[in-house]
Amino acid sequence: MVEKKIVDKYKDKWLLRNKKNKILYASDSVVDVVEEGRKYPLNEVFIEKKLIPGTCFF
Amino acid sequence: MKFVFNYDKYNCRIPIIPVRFIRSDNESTPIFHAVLDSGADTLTIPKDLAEWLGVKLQPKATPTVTASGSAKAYTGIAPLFILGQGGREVKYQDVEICAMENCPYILVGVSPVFEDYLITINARERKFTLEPIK
Repeated sequence: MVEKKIVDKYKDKWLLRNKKNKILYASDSVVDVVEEGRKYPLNEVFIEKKLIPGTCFF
Repeated sequence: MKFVFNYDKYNCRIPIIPVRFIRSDNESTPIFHAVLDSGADTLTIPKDLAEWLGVKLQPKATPTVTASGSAKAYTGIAPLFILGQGGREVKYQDVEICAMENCPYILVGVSPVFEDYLITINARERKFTLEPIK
Protein backbone atom coordinates (compact mmCIF):
# COMPACT_ATOMS: atom_id res chain seq x y z
CA MET A 1 0.00 0.00 0.00
CA VAL A 2 1.39 3.39 -0.98
CA GLU A 3 1.22 5.93 1.80
CA LYS A 4 -0.13 9.21 0.54
CA LYS A 5 1.65 12.28 1.85
CA ILE A 6 -0.46 15.35 2.24
CA VAL A 7 1.56 18.52 1.90
CA ASP A 8 0.07 21.49 3.67
CA LYS A 9 1.48 24.60 2.06
CA TYR A 10 0.34 26.69 5.00
CA LYS A 11 2.04 24.58 7.66
CA ASP A 12 4.12 26.76 10.02
CA LYS A 13 3.14 29.94 8.19
CA TRP A 14 1.49 32.98 9.71
CA LEU A 15 -1.95 33.32 8.14
CA LEU A 16 -4.22 36.28 7.63
CA ARG A 17 -7.84 35.14 7.55
CA ASN A 18 -11.13 36.90 7.15
CA LYS A 19 -14.29 36.31 9.20
CA LYS A 20 -15.27 33.45 6.93
CA ASN A 21 -11.93 31.82 7.73
CA LYS A 22 -10.68 32.32 4.20
CA ILE A 23 -6.91 32.66 3.98
CA LEU A 24 -6.12 36.07 2.49
CA TYR A 25 -2.37 36.02 2.90
CA ALA A 26 0.34 33.72 4.23
CA SER A 27 3.98 34.27 5.08
CA ASP A 28 6.84 32.97 7.20
CA SER A 29 7.20 36.54 8.46
CA VAL A 30 4.72 37.64 11.08
CA VAL A 31 5.55 41.29 10.31
CA ASP A 32 4.59 40.84 6.63
CA VAL A 33 1.25 39.43 7.76
CA VAL A 34 0.75 42.27 10.25
CA GLU A 35 1.38 44.85 7.51
CA GLU A 36 -0.98 43.09 5.11
CA GLY A 37 -3.64 42.81 7.81
CA ARG A 38 -3.43 46.52 8.58
CA LYS A 39 -4.91 47.20 5.12
CA TYR A 40 -8.25 45.82 6.41
CA PRO A 41 -10.63 47.15 9.09
CA LEU A 42 -9.61 45.95 12.55
CA ASN A 43 -12.33 43.41 13.26
CA GLU A 44 -12.53 42.04 9.71
CA VAL A 45 -9.37 39.92 9.77
CA PHE A 46 -7.22 37.99 12.20
CA ILE A 47 -3.78 36.42 12.28
CA GLU A 48 -2.99 32.91 13.38
CA LYS A 49 -1.07 29.76 12.61
CA LYS A 50 -2.71 26.46 11.89
CA LEU A 51 -3.04 24.41 15.04
CA ILE A 52 -3.12 20.77 14.15
CA PRO A 53 -4.11 18.11 16.70
CA GLY A 54 -1.05 17.17 18.74
CA THR A 55 0.33 20.70 18.82
CA CYS A 56 2.31 21.35 21.97
CA PHE A 57 3.89 24.58 23.15
CA PHE A 58 5.60 24.81 26.53
CA MET B 1 -15.22 42.35 33.68
CA LYS B 2 -15.93 38.63 33.30
CA PHE B 3 -15.15 37.08 29.93
CA VAL B 4 -16.42 33.89 28.37
CA PHE B 5 -14.63 32.76 25.22
CA ASN B 6 -15.88 29.97 23.04
CA TYR B 7 -13.09 28.46 20.97
CA ASP B 8 -15.06 25.61 19.41
CA LYS B 9 -15.17 27.54 16.13
CA TYR B 10 -11.40 27.26 15.77
CA ASN B 11 -11.63 23.46 15.37
CA CYS B 12 -8.84 22.99 17.88
CA ARG B 13 -8.50 21.69 21.44
CA ILE B 14 -6.15 24.44 22.54
CA PRO B 15 -7.79 27.50 24.15
CA ILE B 16 -7.50 30.47 21.80
CA ILE B 17 -7.98 34.09 22.80
CA PRO B 18 -8.08 37.23 20.61
CA VAL B 19 -5.40 39.80 21.39
CA ARG B 20 -3.66 42.72 19.73
CA PHE B 21 -0.81 45.10 20.35
CA ILE B 22 -0.51 48.86 19.92
CA ARG B 23 2.76 50.66 19.32
CA SER B 24 3.77 53.85 21.09
CA ASP B 25 2.81 55.79 17.92
CA ASN B 26 -0.73 54.37 18.33
CA GLU B 27 -0.53 51.99 15.36
CA SER B 28 -2.30 48.70 16.04
CA THR B 29 -1.64 45.19 14.86
CA PRO B 30 -4.58 43.23 13.50
CA ILE B 31 -6.14 40.80 15.95
CA PHE B 32 -4.08 37.72 16.72
CA HIS B 33 -5.51 34.42 17.80
CA ALA B 34 -3.24 33.70 20.73
CA VAL B 35 -2.90 30.60 22.88
CA LEU B 36 -3.88 30.82 26.52
CA ASP B 37 -0.86 29.03 27.96
CA SER B 38 -0.34 28.41 31.68
CA GLY B 39 2.99 26.81 30.74
CA ALA B 40 4.40 30.11 29.53
CA ASP B 41 5.88 32.37 32.17
CA THR B 42 4.84 35.55 30.46
CA LEU B 43 3.39 37.01 27.28
CA THR B 44 5.55 35.46 24.55
CA ILE B 45 5.78 36.81 21.00
CA PRO B 46 8.02 36.48 17.93
CA LYS B 47 11.15 38.65 18.07
CA ASP B 48 10.38 40.38 14.77
CA LEU B 49 6.93 41.35 16.04
CA ALA B 50 8.54 42.79 19.20
CA GLU B 51 10.85 44.83 16.97
CA TRP B 52 7.89 46.03 14.88
CA LEU B 53 6.27 47.17 18.12
CA GLY B 54 9.39 49.16 18.94
CA VAL B 55 10.18 47.12 22.04
CA LYS B 56 13.72 47.56 23.32
CA LEU B 57 14.90 43.99 23.78
CA GLN B 58 17.44 42.72 26.26
CA PRO B 59 18.84 39.20 25.79
CA LYS B 60 17.94 36.85 28.60
CA ALA B 61 20.91 35.59 30.53
CA THR B 62 19.91 31.98 30.03
CA PRO B 63 18.09 30.28 27.14
CA THR B 64 14.37 29.73 27.54
CA VAL B 65 13.34 26.10 27.78
CA THR B 66 10.55 25.08 25.41
CA ALA B 67 8.90 21.80 24.54
CA SER B 68 11.24 21.42 21.57
CA GLY B 69 14.44 22.36 23.40
CA SER B 70 16.00 25.61 24.50
CA ALA B 71 15.77 28.85 22.57
CA LYS B 72 17.45 32.24 22.72
CA ALA B 73 15.05 34.70 24.24
CA TYR B 74 14.80 38.40 24.97
CA THR B 75 12.79 40.48 27.39
CA GLY B 76 11.23 43.89 26.94
CA ILE B 77 8.22 46.05 27.62
CA ALA B 78 5.38 46.29 25.09
CA PRO B 79 3.61 49.68 25.17
CA LEU B 80 0.03 48.38 25.00
CA PHE B 81 -1.42 44.87 24.96
CA ILE B 82 -5.16 44.34 24.49
CA LEU B 83 -6.95 41.20 25.54
CA GLY B 84 -10.31 40.48 23.89
CA GLN B 85 -12.01 42.18 20.96
CA GLY B 86 -15.09 44.03 19.81
CA GLY B 87 -15.53 46.35 22.76
CA ARG B 88 -15.00 43.65 25.40
CA GLU B 89 -11.36 44.43 25.91
CA VAL B 90 -8.86 44.78 28.72
CA LYS B 91 -5.84 47.01 28.16
CA TYR B 92 -2.45 46.34 29.67
CA GLN B 93 0.02 49.17 29.47
CA ASP B 94 3.78 48.61 29.60
CA VAL B 95 3.51 44.86 29.80
CA GLU B 96 6.55 42.60 30.13
CA ILE B 97 7.07 40.32 27.14
CA CYS B 98 9.37 37.49 26.21
CA ALA B 99 10.47 37.52 22.55
CA MET B 100 11.84 34.49 20.74
CA GLU B 101 13.14 34.09 17.21
CA ASN B 102 11.21 30.93 16.39
CA CYS B 103 8.14 31.64 18.46
CA PRO B 104 5.45 29.29 17.16
CA TYR B 105 2.48 31.35 18.30
CA ILE B 106 1.52 34.29 20.50
CA LEU B 107 1.39 32.80 23.99
CA VAL B 108 -0.65 34.49 26.70
CA GLY B 109 1.23 33.30 29.76
CA VAL B 110 0.96 33.50 33.51
CA SER B 111 2.08 37.13 33.74
CA PRO B 112 -0.05 39.19 33.54
CA VAL B 113 -3.30 37.41 32.59
CA PHE B 114 -3.25 34.33 34.87
CA GLU B 115 -2.24 36.57 37.76
CA ASP B 116 -5.20 38.87 37.21
CA TYR B 117 -7.92 36.37 36.32
CA LEU B 118 -9.26 33.13 37.68
CA ILE B 119 -9.31 31.04 34.52
CA THR B 120 -11.60 28.06 34.10
CA ILE B 121 -11.18 25.98 30.96
CA ASN B 122 -14.06 23.75 29.98
CA ALA B 123 -12.21 21.65 27.39
CA ARG B 124 -15.21 19.43 26.71
CA GLU B 125 -17.30 22.39 25.59
CA ARG B 126 -14.28 24.25 24.26
CA LYS B 127 -14.84 27.42 26.20
CA PHE B 128 -13.12 29.21 29.02
CA THR B 129 -14.01 31.86 31.54
CA LEU B 130 -11.86 34.66 32.88
CA GLU B 131 -13.03 36.15 36.16
CA PRO B 132 -11.11 39.05 37.69
CA ILE B 133 -9.32 38.16 40.91
CA LYS B 134 -10.33 40.71 43.50
